[in-house]
Amino acid sequence: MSLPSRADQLLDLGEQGCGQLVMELMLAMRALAPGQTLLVTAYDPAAAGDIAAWCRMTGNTLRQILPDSSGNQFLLQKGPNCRC
Amino acid sequence: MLNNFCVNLTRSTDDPDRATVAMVVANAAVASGKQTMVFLSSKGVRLAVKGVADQISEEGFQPMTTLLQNFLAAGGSVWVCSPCFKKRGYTEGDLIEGASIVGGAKLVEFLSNDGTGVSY
Repeated sequence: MSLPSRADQLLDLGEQGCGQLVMELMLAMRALAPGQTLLVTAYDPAAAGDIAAWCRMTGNTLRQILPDSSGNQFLLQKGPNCRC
Repeated sequence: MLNNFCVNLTRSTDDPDRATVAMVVANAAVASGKQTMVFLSSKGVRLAVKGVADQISEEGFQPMTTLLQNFLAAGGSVWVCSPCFKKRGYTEGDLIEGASIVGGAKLVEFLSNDGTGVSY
């Protein structure tokens, strides 16, 4: 699977996980308008599950999970009724 | 899906690992759009006393002061058990900014109104 050609914002979370990871997600998503996209890089082993759950709870969409050479990338799209 | 989320915390400097993990989970809840409240009871009330959070910084986690600041800035609430606080000789003047002293009825109302939670 290829990387998206563009995202409206990038967020590199490195090894951050759990509460710190979702706090950074919330802050980044708050800065976007509905429909805009956020490309997240996250290496924490629990990141995939946490990001998917966070999207379900906050009204955002996890569009793609994109393996890269060193971790995972996640393409999120802000929902029209984002609760964050 | 339930909307009110309570993190009950009964420790502070006596168990910094447990106190830190509780605040990490509270941050996850508030950042996930939940109406999140940290209920400090028993020895946990010390966390709401000025200067105490500064003493907690666990390896692998953000310092407690950062966790608390982020939690409050994101819209979380810190409630402090009134009898637990008074029993230890503290007064409202000892409280950190953003924390409030409450009684049991407030906790029961919060949890009875579409609420759930975890306890540390």
